[in-house]
Amino acid sequence: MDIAINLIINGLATGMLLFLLAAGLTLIFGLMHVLNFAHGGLFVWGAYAGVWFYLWTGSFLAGLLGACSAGLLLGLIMERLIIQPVYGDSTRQILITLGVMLVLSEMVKVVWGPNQISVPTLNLLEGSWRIGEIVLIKYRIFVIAAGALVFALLQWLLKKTRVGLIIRAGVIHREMVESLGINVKRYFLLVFVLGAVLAALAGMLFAPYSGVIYAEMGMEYAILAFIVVVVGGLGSVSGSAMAAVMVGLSSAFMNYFLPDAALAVNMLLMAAVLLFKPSGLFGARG
Amino acid sequence: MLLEVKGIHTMIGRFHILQGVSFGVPRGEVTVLLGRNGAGKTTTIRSIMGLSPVVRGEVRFEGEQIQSLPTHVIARKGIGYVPEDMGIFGDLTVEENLKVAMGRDDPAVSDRLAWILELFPDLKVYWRRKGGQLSGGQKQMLSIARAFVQNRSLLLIDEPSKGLAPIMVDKMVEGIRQIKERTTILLVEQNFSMAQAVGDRFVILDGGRCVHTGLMDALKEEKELQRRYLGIA
Amino acid sequence: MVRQTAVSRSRFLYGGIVAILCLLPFLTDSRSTLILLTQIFIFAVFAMSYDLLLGFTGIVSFGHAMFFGIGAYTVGILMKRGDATTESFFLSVLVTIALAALVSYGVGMLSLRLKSHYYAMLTLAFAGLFQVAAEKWRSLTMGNDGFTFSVPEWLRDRETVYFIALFFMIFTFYLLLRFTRSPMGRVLQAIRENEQRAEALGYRVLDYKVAASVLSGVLAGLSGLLYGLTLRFVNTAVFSVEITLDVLLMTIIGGVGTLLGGIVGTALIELTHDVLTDLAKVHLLFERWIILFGIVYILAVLFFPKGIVGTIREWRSSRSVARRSDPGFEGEKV
Repeated sequence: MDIAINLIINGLATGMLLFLLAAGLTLIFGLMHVLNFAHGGLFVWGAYAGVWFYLWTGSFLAGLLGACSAGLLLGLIMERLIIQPVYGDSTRQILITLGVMLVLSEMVKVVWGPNQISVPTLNLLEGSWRIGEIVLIKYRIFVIAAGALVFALLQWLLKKTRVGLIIRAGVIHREMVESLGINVKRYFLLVFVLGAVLAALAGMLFAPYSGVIYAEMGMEYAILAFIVVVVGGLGSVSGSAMAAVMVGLSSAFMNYFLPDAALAVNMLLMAAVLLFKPSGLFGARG
Repeated sequence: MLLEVKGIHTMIGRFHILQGVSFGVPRGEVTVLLGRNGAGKTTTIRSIMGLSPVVRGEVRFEGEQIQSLPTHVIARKGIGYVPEDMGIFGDLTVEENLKVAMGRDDPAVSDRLAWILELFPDLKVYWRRKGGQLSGGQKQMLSIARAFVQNRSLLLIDEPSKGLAPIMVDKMVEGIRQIKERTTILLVEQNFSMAQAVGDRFVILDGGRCVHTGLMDALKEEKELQRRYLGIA
Repeated sequence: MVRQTAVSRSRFLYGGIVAILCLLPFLTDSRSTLILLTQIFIFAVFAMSYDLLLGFTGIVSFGHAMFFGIGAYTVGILMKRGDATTESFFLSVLVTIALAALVSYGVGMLSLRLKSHYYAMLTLAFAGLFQVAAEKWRSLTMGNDGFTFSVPEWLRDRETVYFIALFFMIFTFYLLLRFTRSPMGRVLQAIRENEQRAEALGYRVLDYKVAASVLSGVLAGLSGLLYGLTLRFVNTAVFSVEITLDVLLMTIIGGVGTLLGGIVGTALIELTHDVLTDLAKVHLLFERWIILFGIVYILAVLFFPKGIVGTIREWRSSRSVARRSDPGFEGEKV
């Protein structure tokens, strides 16, 4: 029983991280029709930049801020220099973002070396609480709380602000928003940078959670994020949230019982969704 | 002439849909774009709106060339668009749909909204309903309301009566009659009786070209034209 | 008249090059040259198979390494288990074809009916899955370390393998050339231009796309098989994303949608690989050649999307064809 609860907590924490990755990815796709294959690169750079700040200053908060700044900067550069020139050409978009992913992953190795870096847990969030038989690892609860907070903020942005309204409308029917006199392209930069910051944040939150960071984690988690986005429905933030929890839980349980098959099970889920409901389990439009 | 279309050619991919369409839309009237399926009516509307690229020719609105401007700029110049599929934001409520169109707080806009809601009271009733849950007729009303809540001197409306029950069509006709008092309308309509009911002038398209224009009253008598270009026996 | 000369001129050119390539093993003693050229031939087939998908049908796949790896591991495993006989060789060819066809059919049916983004994501994920599977299934694959294996007597000779690779490349080139010019090939190109239009014209687009992906996958698998054969060693690197990047680079720099581009691009990339590996001994930066390749790749997609062969062809056709007064009004009416 306590194992089950532990696994659920693990699953939720992983799910939150995946949500942070997937939310940006799905919004970027929904509004800009760009599938950002470089999202994993933002994840790994967020982790490395954040950890670097953390180790240098000793402050986790500095690490988080460092990660977000890295995401902001990279997102800005990417959108203006790389995405913008290929708007509308989905083949070139896909090709180019994968290229950026590879370059970002390799740059990590150039700057920080090819070996993994271990990340110490923070003093404040070290250890765990005990409730009877159940052990709750503090950092994991923190990640869940952080993820929930981001979700709430995103929902507020989308549902209660004009910017959010336009983004939501643009995801549903971009042409119509333009026909109403609104320059949707102005929102592209905003959405892309938002997605980049979320991905980088996910990377930094991930670092103390896993204890190590390594260059390959970008691609690994990017693949999981794609699975989440497909299962949840491209363009739906709440879909991503629910799908992220699903995939997170499935990973947690599989990693405990049958670790070799963890990825395969998630891919099976993705394949099933593509077969039966390609618009996603929680997706709105197809 | 409020709108002048001069010899426009529009391609979709490799296909040469509009092959030199020319006509004018006079201010204050309802001009109806007629023609068989595939004649190029919707493409013409989209070309004016900047949604389909015009490769040759001119579109002049209030004397100004607009054919290569981005869609949102064209909209801001005062052209509103009600597409064939209505373009309703299904997951957004009626209120939110209108809010997207309304922009910053502006008393003129609020006044116009109030007037539109008098015209289409259903929208008031279903204010908090999601757009996707409305009936076909209500969606059409919402789409027109959205296009018109900002001051627009030209409304492009594409097949508003499509798929609507006769009662709704009558409501639509009434609505358009009221709106035309305040603006100019270019209407695409397959339903000839509706076209006759609201239209002042007509433009017939065939094979991507404009083949006939004139006053609607005159067209009513021309059975031969009706048969040849509109498929009405 | 002019056209005739042009065609026979290029035939003469190709014939000449093939002749030189055939004579090469007898003209040079350099083993490394032979090996390099063999690699080029093998990867040229890999690149051409990828071009069939990307250049002719407009499908973006990020999992092409999957098929390559399937071929390499199949030959490795069957050689090891089957005592390196000629029968094992032919069996591995058949198994590779079957497996590659099966996987490409499955993945294709699953996602080719959806937007291109789905196929790209799915192939990326599947390639990752294959890599993970190869790592974990140690009993079969020896994990990351991989294993060496021997091959039948007649396949041990460098020159024999050279010729097999050369003829495989020529065969594939000719096959794909005929295929893309056939009615079926033209349908694929129509699909690339405008899928909805092709569908509206009555073609079962999904069937065509899946067929293209199966042909492509099988050719890629066979190139992987040859690769394993020349190295006599296989490890999880054959499934890696670097292989996919390599083929992307080769196809794009060479010229998308031109089979010749696959060959030219491959030659360029492999030669650069070779040079960089030598340079890496001089300066550490060259070890991170992936970054250089990645940057070149991004620049190519941004500024040079037609590639070498594509740009040359465009330049030639704009020179020889008289200017028309209207920009291409040769479309159909609706």
